[in-house]
Amino acid sequence: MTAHNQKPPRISSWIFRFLLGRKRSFFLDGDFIEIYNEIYSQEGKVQALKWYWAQLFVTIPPLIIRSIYWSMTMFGNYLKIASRIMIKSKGYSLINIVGLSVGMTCSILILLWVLDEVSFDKFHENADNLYIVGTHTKYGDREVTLPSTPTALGPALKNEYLEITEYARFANGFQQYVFSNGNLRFNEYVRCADASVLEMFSFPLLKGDAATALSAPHSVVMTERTARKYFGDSDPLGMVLRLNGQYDFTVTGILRDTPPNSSLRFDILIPLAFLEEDWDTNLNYWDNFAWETYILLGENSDREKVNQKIAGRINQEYAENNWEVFLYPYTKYHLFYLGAGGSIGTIIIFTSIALLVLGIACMNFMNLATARSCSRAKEIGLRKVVGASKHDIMKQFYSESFLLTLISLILTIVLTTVLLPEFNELTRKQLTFDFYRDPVLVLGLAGMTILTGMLSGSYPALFMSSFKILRILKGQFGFGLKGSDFRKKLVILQFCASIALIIVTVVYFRQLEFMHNKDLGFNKERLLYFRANGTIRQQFDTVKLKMLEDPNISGVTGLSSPMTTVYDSDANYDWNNKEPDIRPSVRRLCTDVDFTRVFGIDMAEGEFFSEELTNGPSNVNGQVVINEEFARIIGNDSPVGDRLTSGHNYNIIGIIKDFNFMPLYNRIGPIALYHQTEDDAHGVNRFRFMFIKIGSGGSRETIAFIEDVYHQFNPELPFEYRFLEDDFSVLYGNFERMGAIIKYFAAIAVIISCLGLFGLGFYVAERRTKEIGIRKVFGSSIPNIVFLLSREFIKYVVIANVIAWPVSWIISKAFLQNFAYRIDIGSGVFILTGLTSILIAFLTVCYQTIKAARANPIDALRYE
Amino acid sequence: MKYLTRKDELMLLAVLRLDNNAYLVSLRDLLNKSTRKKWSIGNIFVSLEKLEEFGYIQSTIGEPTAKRGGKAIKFYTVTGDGLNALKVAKSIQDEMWDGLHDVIFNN
Repeated sequence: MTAHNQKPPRISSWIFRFLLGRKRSFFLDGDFIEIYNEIYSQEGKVQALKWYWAQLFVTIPPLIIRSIYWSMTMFGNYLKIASRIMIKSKGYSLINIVGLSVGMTCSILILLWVLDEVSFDKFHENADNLYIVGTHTKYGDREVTLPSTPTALGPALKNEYLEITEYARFANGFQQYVFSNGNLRFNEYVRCADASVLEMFSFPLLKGDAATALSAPHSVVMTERTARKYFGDSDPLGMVLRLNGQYDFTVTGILRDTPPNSSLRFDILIPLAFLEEDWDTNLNYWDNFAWETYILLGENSDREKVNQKIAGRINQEYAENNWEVFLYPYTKYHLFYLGAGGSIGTIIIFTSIALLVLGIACMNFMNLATARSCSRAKEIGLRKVVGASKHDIMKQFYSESFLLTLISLILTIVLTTVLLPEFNELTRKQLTFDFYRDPVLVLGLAGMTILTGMLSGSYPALFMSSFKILRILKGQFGFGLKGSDFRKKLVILQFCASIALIIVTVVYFRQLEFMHNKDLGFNKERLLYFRANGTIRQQFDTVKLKMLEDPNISGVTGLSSPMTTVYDSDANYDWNNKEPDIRPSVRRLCTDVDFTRVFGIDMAEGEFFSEELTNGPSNVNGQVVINEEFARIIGNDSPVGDRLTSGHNYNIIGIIKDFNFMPLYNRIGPIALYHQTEDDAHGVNRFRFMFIKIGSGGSRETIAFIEDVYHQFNPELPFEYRFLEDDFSVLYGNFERMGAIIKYFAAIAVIISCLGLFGLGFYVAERRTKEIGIRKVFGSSIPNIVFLLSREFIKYVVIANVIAWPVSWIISKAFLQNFAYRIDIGSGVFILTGLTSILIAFLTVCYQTIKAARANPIDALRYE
Repeated sequence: MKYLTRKDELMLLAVLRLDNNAYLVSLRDLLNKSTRKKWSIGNIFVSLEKLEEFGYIQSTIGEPTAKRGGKAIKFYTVTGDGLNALKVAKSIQDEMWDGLHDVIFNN
């Protein structure tokens, strides 16, 4: 008996429906069912199913090919229509394309920036096993986490823990030395590191042997560019350079230029051992937390376990220590610092900005597209009558938006290429836009285009496809409550984002200005300083007296550090009634009696070093001055006269007012000042720098005079000097760059929003021409009408402000948390931005509304 | 005028052969038997659509039947254009095969 009512599994119907559409798949279903039934009745269910699955499997490929071909034809048709429409309304298309392009360009530039930041330090061969050593401590309510480690830590870690296979230390910052080859002399910024650094890290040597290059204490490794300065085209390997006119250094290797996406960058490397020789630095000291230590972990070592083992290593040296040692992955260092901070914050801000700007551009598109629905309504109605499904209409609008997006993409690529050099200037990077080489970039571009196209097209597509046909043809289309509501929200959102951006930008710049002008606690103006090399250091007092002969020089002093940072520190302090678990890392500064005068710092209590004290009975070697912060840590009411011990006993003779000796986003820490006669092993003072305060009558001649005196003592060395205030400007350069970028993006966001408002105003005015005409007939004046039309927009802006204010307040607060010294946000920013935004909105719609208001009412009412 | 592919030609001939009963399932059976190869449903479906696009066949919708699970049936007939196309195909075939009968079959 033939069974006629068996149904095979339904999956085939779904697949056919998906590939072919409902109408075409209908018949195919029937064919499948018929054959299925036949086999079922002749050979039973099992055979029937076997046939079913086999046949389904074989049938699908040709159907897929067919449906692709089909879609391409339809798509071609849509594109043709889309391009016709685009050309017909050039203005509107232009606004959209420009808006989208600008949004996409911003996103790409930021994407490039982010990709670069994320790629930092990943080029090292040992990258996965490279770690930087961090230290963490608490005293009182302060927690300090820094990559500053004792000099002895590196070797200890390697020798005592199996998992740690190598270590390399870097002295902090750059040392300044003068290298000379005969008459060629240059002041160079040099980094000092252990010899192992060349093998641990991937800083390849173009010439020379990495294993031995830095083993000899007077060897130097430099980049090709640097070598060329001294040796021209001849082979620099094995040649000798003179350092500071005193030491002979042999060039043992030529470095490849350090890549820009490396946290460690240098042109010249010399061995750490030299610091021991030249500055009497103790390479095996547990109390000096100033250097960076990097270590290499063996394969298959567990970082967690190692961290547990080494955590208390520093504490082993002193019973009362409170330091925790830990390893942090080097590849994450640039992004996350040691766990909190680093450039990840900036990345998040920038990415949010990019998304915001892109979002605004998309919202623009959505608004403009839907606002045009009145003119397109008839076309849509006609299409539906001829048989287009809702689906088809949606596809049409998506293809329109994709076409516009594609054209924007081309413009974006052009814009990006053009703007990239400028952007590189701004960000001090060397970003490249080679999308034919970088697959990630291509992916990013494609993804962004698709996202933008879909996002922008989604609203008009969904909105337009749901029009009711008859209403359209009769001309009774309204916008529908749903329509205008959503669009209102979009405009508000756009302005909201722009306003928030502006407020945050203003706060950012105010903080920047604040940091610039903040009272550092000392006077940084007209302070010229230079490295006290060679003879000058040895005959410091003599040089000083000679300098003072110029009437335009009001003061001279010496310092062991350049005041933008302090090189030396000590954690081994003890005082009366000290609590056992407090061991602050205190910076040390050596100076002379003129320090307070030259820098204009007052004493809070007690006295500073002075001639009387120097010549008096109490040994000035036993005197120390501390700052208010240190006094606070000590906790004593008045520690003047108390003892302070570190190695030797010192007498606290005074408390100096807090001044900033590290970058302003750190809290002022404790510092101890010593008098110059803190000798090193050679009996010479510890001054690295001579600071000269130039009076207000000073001029270029004064500088020439200083240079003369300098050369009297150091005839062979070039005179290289700096002004302290310039150094501070450079320190904040980073923030300024970021600020400039944010400024530009905020401006762009506002422009795009205004573009959107402009286009919207146009269409709304058009829609209300009849209403305007009637109002004019009834006697309404032009200003009245303008006011009426703009009122709606102004309402949007006000609401946008109300939303934006709390959001931007939160963001600003979070941003300011990073600074120890910050501004008050205050209410001025908000009010000012609010008023400005209203003004801008008004001006934007002004043109349209005035034009509409001036139209002749007869024209408006003619057609009914 | 487009040349018929072999598949198209076979398809058209099959439709003619089946006269009033030319629909996907019956066509498939006929082709399977004649060419002694298994044709997939999708293959035939696509060919039929193409031929209809060219205008060589046209379809009529028949009654739904129980054995098709209640779905209607699409019958095909060859159009004038289709017949012309077949004529052209045949004449080209004859020209090319002419005189080669012995060579092909008696070797």
